[in-house]
Amino acid sequence: MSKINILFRNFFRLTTRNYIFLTSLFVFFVAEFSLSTLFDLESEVQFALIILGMFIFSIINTTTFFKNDQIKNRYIKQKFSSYWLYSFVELLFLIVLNLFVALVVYFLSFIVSADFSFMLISVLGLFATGLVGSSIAWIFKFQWNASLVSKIFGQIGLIVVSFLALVNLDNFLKYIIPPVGQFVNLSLSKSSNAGFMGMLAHQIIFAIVLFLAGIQLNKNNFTK
Amino acid sequence: MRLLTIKDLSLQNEGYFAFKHVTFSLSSGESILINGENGSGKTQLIEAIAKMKNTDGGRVHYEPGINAALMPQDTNMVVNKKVGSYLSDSRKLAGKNAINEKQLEDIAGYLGLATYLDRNVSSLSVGIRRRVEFLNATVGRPKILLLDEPFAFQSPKYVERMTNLIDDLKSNGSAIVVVSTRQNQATLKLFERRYLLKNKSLESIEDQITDCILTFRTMPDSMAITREINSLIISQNSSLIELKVPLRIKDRMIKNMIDLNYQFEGERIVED
Repeated sequence: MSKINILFRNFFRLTTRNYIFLTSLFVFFVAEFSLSTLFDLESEVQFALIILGMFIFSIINTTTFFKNDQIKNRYIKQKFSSYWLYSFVELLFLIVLNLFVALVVYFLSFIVSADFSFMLISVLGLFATGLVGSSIAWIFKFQWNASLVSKIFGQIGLIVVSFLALVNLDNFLKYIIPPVGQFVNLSLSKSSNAGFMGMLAHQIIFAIVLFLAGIQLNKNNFTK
Repeated sequence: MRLLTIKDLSLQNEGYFAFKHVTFSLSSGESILINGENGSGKTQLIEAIAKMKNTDGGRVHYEPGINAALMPQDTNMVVNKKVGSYLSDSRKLAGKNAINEKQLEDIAGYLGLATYLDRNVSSLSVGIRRRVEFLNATVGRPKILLLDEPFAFQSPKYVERMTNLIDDLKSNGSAIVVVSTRQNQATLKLFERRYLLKNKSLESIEDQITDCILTFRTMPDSMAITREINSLIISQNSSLIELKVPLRIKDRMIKNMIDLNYQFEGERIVED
């Protein structure tokens, strides 16, 4: 338990002392505030834009987290020896981080609803979107190794998959691409709670699959 | 018991080999020193042994269940923690093999770090930081200890103390690998074997050492030097005589000079 505690505190320090996280969070808040006060947008459109923002925010910050982890935690990893425990704590940290950001982002969006279940689904939807973003960044974690080919392939791959995530398809392909665009479309179409629940489950399952794939894919590069 | 086996290890970086076909093994209680010029690949080799590099050939094998710890050469990494907390966390990460808190405090005091425990690691001087990193690597009582330039920036007093701690680990069954640019005469006795990393390959250094220089002080009752000894003199003044002798006859020459009433002052190794 103390190992998990030590590592979790390390990740917390790594993230909060990194200017990108705090700056991008602040920019997100400013953008939300601008949406609600300067532009006369419907709440569905506002929420759709917040979903996009959450997705981009989680990709950028998870990518930065992995980059800093690769540089600053090299020798901690050498001491840690258990790749699975280390990955578990990374995953736990990303879950907590995305949940925190989802809560803060939702309540600072001023999209207030009397329906508690709708509010809950909205927060969970943002959380799940954040998890999808983090899981995509995890797949391309190998780009922070020394190889130039890895870096190029990783950067291009991240951009391509992120773009695919925002595409909204109606055929079978919608089940194999990250469902962020579908969630945005659902928000704009004023779907029911049941519709949102289905999308929420789809996003979480997708994130879990990508996390597991990312953990396996990056196993050989643990301390390198 | 063999703890570490390195077989035919090679590493390439950006088209250049850092080292090729490195092979050696280490048993419990053994220690080796690897010397090499700057840029010869020592740090890359020790990081490859610590499994922190993807090598291009060969393998690094640890005996199952064995833990390894590395003291890195790089102490520029920013660590925003107090020294006490930093060492305590390393102790906890090492698990049940680690020394306890009391022992940690005692060893910190022994290494002159007691007054730095409440200081931020990143605010320390280079020498103190390196001692902290040395302690950081040893708190877990690793079975394989890898030290990259451990004695750099250290005064003789702390070199001796660090040597004592390494010796203590050896006597408890740990295997030690030290890489260093310079040979520190005070620590040479610590190592069973010495190697030189040169031209990308690892050569046993024993073959390189053939001579040593013996220094003697002339006493009031010193007798005339024999013809054999005279042929070995490389420098002489009114009070000191230096002889360059092959290692194989070193002990005999020391005895002969002492028999002639010269006071033995010291020796140093001469490498090719």
